[in-house]
Amino acid sequence: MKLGIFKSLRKYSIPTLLSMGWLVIIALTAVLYPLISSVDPKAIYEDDLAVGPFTNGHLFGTDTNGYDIFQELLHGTRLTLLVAVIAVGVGGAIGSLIGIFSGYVRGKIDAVVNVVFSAILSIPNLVLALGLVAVLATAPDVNSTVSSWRQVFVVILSLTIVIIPILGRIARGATLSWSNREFVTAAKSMGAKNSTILWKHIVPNVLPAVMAIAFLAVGVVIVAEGSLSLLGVGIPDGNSWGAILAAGRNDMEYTPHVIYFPIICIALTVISCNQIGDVIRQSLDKREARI
Amino acid sequence: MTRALPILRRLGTLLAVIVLSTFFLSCLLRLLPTDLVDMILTLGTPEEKDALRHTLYLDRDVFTSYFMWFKDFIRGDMGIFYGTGGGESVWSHVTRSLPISLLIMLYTQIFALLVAIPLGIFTAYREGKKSDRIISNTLFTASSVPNFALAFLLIIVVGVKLQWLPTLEYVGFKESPLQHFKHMILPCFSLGLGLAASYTRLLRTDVIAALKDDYVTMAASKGLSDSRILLTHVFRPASVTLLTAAALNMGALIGGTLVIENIFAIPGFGFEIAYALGTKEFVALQSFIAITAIGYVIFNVAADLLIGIVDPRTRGSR
Repeated sequence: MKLGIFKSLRKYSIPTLLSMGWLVIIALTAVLYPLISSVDPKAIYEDDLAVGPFTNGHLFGTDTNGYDIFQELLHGTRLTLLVAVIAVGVGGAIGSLIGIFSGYVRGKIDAVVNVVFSAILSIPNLVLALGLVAVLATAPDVNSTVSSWRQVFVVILSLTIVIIPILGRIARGATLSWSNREFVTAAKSMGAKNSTILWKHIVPNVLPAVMAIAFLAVGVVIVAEGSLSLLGVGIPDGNSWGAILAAGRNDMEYTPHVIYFPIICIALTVISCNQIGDVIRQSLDKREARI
Repeated sequence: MTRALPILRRLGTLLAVIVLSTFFLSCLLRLLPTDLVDMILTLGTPEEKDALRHTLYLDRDVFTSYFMWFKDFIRGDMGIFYGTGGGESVWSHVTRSLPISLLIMLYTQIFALLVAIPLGIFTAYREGKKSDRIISNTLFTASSVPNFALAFLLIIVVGVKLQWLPTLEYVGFKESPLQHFKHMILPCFSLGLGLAASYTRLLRTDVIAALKDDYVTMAASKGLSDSRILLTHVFRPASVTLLTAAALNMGALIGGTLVIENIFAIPGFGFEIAYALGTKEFVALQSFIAITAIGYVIFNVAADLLIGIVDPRTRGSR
């Protein structure tokens, strides 16, 4: 069994393996965080304000508030990944559902779905996310501010809405081309039910294409989450990588290490997602060429 | 006439998309969990509030108010900044900030194309060789680096440590051309590197495909030099993808400019959007977002039309 895994991994290139490794590490960190770390990420180390990396047991140093950057990053992994996974997972599921349905039935419904997708996509995704967050994160009472959890929820919801048309359009396009293939016509002529054709012939072929783009979308969401934080409307209180970056940027000149580490985490994750998405796409192209 | 028809149909879709996306924004504003008028006039009398509600067309139903807003919007009457802006008109902010952002995007596109065209043709020409593999892999990684990450690294290394270039604020071209370009280098580089990388990749794929076409073999058999074939026979059809990619990337570029302007404190359109966002100026925000959407759609259609001019083969099929 163990040998089998290693054998199947051998066919990937080194950058791909590194990407997989990094994603597995951060995923495990996010899931197992309570087991890995018992230190309060918001503990203030008054004796070690703004110290550099590798001093007094602070692996990545501390910021000017005395927060330990390594602990903050470990903690931030959870929300960063939660936002990305939910936005892409839920947004992708809804988008695929709409896209596959409209691509399969075609006609007027499809035309309407297409124009609606185009209209939403005509707003650059970060701008759309900003608008949604701005509107949804407004407190009903003028003088109060929204709670942290509500802000987190709003960020996730907004990014989900941004993802729906992106993946929906991919699913629609793939459905349009697959539903024209010979085996679908054959299934139809044999009297197969629409639901059977959809489940047996369309969905298994469309999903890999959506998966490839979904990995890219995870990268897009992580960058968007960071951008929202930098613009001051993201996840609050340094609870995600973007938020740590946004908090550290004011003291960038004195404690540059505070922004190096979140930047490295964000960049590595985005690069890894793009790499894996690219590998999936290439293997699809190869399979396509064989058929 | 037959030629004008597809263009007219495109313009029809263009209009539909613009109307739909701006209408969508209007609906969004209605989704506010609080009353917009109460937000603006926290301490106003009921009469004042009613008057404002009337000016903002909020006393009508969604559709009428949208069309009234749209009519004003295309005339350039976009309302005023109510809270902190001191009653300045939104349009004045647009005319002040939009040219700066457009300039940044223009520089970025020029930079990206200047890097991508030679690299794309070179890597395609050397397909599979070591130099191609190194450049292609580096570029793939570069295209994944978020632009704000690059911006921060550049600020720290080039701006703070080496002190080569200024990292904050904006200087107009008319004030001092040298300072203007010095201030633009870092923002445009951080925006353009990823763009250049993705253009190079696309161009490489396209040039490789074009190199295998029959007319290239024909040109080679006539004894034309490699560089002549690359530039005249290969580059023109391959540049079609580049144009499409340039248009498609405008969305990401607009979003990127927004963040980069805020990092480098450049008073462009993105700065205005962030300002409106921070001060909850929803009236201004609606127009700002509408402008980005319309601009983006127009870029895309313009690119489509340009493609028809560059590559006549595509005219019929579209």
